[in-house]
Amino acid sequence: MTTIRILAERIMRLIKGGNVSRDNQWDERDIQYLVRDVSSELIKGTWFEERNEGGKGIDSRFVVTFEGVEIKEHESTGENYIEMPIDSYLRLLDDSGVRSIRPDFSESETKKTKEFERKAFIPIPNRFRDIYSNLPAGALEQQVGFEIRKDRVYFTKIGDQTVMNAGLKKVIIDVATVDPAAVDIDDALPLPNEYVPRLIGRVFELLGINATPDVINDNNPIVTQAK
Amino acid sequence: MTNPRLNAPEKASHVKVDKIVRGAIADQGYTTLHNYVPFLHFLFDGLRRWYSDGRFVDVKQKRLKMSSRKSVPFPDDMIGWNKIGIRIGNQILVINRDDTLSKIKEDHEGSEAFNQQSTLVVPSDYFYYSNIYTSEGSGKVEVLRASNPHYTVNYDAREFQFSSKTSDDYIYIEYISSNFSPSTETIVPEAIEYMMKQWIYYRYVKFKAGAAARETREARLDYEDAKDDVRAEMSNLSGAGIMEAVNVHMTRNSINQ
Repeated sequence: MTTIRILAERIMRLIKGGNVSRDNQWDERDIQYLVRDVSSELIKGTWFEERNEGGKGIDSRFVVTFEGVEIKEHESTGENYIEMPIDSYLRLLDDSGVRSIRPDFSESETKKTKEFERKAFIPIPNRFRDIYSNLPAGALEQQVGFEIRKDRVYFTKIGDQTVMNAGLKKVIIDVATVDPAAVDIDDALPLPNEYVPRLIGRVFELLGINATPDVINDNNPIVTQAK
Repeated sequence: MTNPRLNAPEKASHVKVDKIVRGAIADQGYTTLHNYVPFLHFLFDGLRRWYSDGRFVDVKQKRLKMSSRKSVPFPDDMIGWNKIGIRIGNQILVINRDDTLSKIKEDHEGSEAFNQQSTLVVPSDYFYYSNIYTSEGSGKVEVLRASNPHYTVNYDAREFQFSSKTSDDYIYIEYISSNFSPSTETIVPEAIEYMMKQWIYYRYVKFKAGAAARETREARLDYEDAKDDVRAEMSNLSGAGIMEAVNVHMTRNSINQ
């Protein structure tokens, strides 16, 4: 199992060329932050690689699930929304970093929530209401849509009912992320082992460290003169 | 690729628009619903083109409030209706048409529809007995139970008119709409499902960034082939073919009769 802590320790040992003393140029936390950053970079890179090869998704190992996210009501507009459970997630071109949002019936299931359709909600593109306002697709009838605005996710109504009035209190959200809130330093890092060498090399690159030190000094070659 | 529907032309069934969109997403190998709204837009565009000659049939359900004189107007987009019902508890009960009911001609408060029969015959089971308790003792009193209403159709006034009010003042109507106002729950003939998926794919490749002309042209040809298959199926003059071509939920309750 590869964790952020294990990777950071391995990288520190590679930097020192052996055991790591307390007197280091780099703190282990610096390396841990870099491991997270490079992990995100690699995950996004794999997404582009898969798209170029005709793939349409993202490896499920990169996806983290948050359950029991509570739905709230906006004070002035009455819209229902949730706070994003993490600060950062993968920003992909089609906004598919937030993979899925669907009803959570795990904790409370009244008669009303049972009647709620158990389908995932529909992602709505940016400026949806502006573009689709007079188009039939803009009504999105009988479906619940979700729209990401900064750090909140807002839900559309079903007919004239908000999702809370329709009986839903919580949702489950799937996100592609390595945010600290989602992946602890001792949790299994959602990165396959085959990406670890690339990750280590990239961290070295960011630290400005040559992974293969030049141990032979060939700047002043000894020239032997023929007798 | 042939239209799979040709293998079972005798089965006239329907699918929801939502199913076609999700099917198109699945066909193209996507793992999330982020293409749902654009694909839905493409599908509605395709349906509008396919039904541009007025063949589109949209079955809708509406809840309409009765007026004080026990009538509800025709929905604006109605060309015929299937069922009219009232809510009894948690069910919608279909009620019957009774053209012996007189038509209300004038639109003013106080007009009522009444039965044209000279004597009002109320079946015995319309009565029930209720116990009453007063300071002088107890006893039983006969109470007339309200019966389910009947309706008649006033084409001049473009209204359904009822013999009595319902408990919640609402009438539930399932009708056939002439307007093209689709939603994700709109049902369309299953025979066009494959054709519409080809249309969605064609529009998607046409408008995506870096679209290749060859890929767009091939997608368009695939759609045209699927459309030809559907038209060929609809021109089948067998009994099953005729039913497939008609394929509407019309009853004798046409607004134009």
